[in-house]
Amino acid sequence: MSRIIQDRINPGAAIDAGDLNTRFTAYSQPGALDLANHAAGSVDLPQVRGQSIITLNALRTPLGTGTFDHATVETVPSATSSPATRYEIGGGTTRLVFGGSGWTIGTGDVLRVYWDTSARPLVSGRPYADPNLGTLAIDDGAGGQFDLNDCLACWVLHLEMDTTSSALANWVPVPGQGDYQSGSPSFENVNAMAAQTIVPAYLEYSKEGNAVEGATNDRTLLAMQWGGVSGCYWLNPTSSTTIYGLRVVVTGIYHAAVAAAQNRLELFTAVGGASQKLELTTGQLSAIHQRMG
Amino acid sequence: MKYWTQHQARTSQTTEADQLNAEMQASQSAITTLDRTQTPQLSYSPTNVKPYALHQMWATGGAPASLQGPLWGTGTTRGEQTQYRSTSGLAAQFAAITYQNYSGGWETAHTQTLAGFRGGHLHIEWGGQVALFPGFQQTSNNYHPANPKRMQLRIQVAGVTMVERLGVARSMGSFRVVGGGLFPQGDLQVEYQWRYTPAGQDDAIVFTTLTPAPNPHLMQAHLFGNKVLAIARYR
Repeated sequence: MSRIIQDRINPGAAIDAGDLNTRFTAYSQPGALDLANHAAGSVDLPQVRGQSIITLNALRTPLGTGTFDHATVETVPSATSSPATRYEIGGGTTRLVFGGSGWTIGTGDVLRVYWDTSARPLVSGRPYADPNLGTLAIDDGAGGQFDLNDCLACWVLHLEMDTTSSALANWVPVPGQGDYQSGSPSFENVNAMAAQTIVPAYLEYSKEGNAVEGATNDRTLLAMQWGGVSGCYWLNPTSSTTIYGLRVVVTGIYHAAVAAAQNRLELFTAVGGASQKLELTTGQLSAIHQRMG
Repeated sequence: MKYWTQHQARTSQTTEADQLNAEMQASQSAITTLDRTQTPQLSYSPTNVKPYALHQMWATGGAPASLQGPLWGTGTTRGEQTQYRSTSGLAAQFAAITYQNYSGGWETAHTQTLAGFRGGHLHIEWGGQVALFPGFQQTSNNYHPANPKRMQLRIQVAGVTMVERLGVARSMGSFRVVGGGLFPQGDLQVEYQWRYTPAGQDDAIVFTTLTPAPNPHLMQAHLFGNKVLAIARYR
């Protein structure tokens, strides 16, 4: 709390310019203003706008080159070998570009990033069938086993940045996010998934009327439809960081796994190929640079 | 409407101490009660506004320092719900929620303390990802109703629900839950909670019943890649 306290002027006290100036200067001293000496609602958009008190920068761009009505789409084939090649949404034309000086995110700042798009995963047949990942040997109720997949497979859209220069030629995942480029098959531990969106790759379930006390003997394969997907990320860095641009890349298909007691998503090349793909239309990528307080 | 001036100085006027005192007090009063129409637009900047005077943010992350980013928690389980972590599952599923270790109800995945919250409007964003097993969402063989699987999500502030969502119903899906409201001053505790659909009558809960026990437990759901951001706007 900030209070401005000056002794009162008493009869007989000297009144001079210096004294009066000191009193009036007290009201404009650095750090003197806070909520204790302002009425509720006294600081509003006119006082905040352009003064960098809360928001320092904001920018947005369309994301992707498809159209909203799905007439044209971007198509990402699933990986057939490890690691998956990163596909940049928009092919380089829909990045967030922060200019020649970039945005410098200080330790007292936060960078908030949001993205959304429309996605449709397509899988032909059951390339994930036994003995591939996700195969479950469910009791079929007749002394045998039934192959029902757990459907824990997904595409990954993750955020990348360039902290090198405005040439935007050195993209790396943002802090807290992995790039799925290491391991065999390539994988990423779930403790490095701070800036990603996942899209389910396929869906099947025990057919209605066929589940009986933990057993099933038939399944329903449901074709995935268009769905809205969105993601968010925020960074309050431990040291000042200059960022020149942001982009969103896609890789897949991955499946859930656990190794050495650590959960992860690992590449699932059994469902790789041109007929196992992800279609994208268009959305938006936006970033806000703000002070933490 | 408020006025800055109580006494207007005139040329050749006799100076009195109380006239100056009244003027100063009027000015001080005016500063503490200025409204938005009277506050000069350019009178505020980061140099003369105290930190957290107008707004304040709290973000998860930063532990350990070598791993930046906003995920909550620490170490190898950063960003995950850690209440239920089965060690009896399959290698090609997450070590997570099973129907052997979770029977239903709301659980708190993360607790955040908004230290120094001074009262005002609070906005909270929670982003993350969900994995769930949809295989037995239709369990109507014995005329039981279907049992659609979903990971419900809610944010509680000081024990009061700020926002609640039906949550994720896809086998692998991302979510963002956003809530806001007016809250009183204090070090508010925010709880990020989830609730998964309980088992239906016909759900399979083990990998197979044909091999000798113990049979691997089927993963039913998990919550991972979680991060939260809280923003307070004070005046």
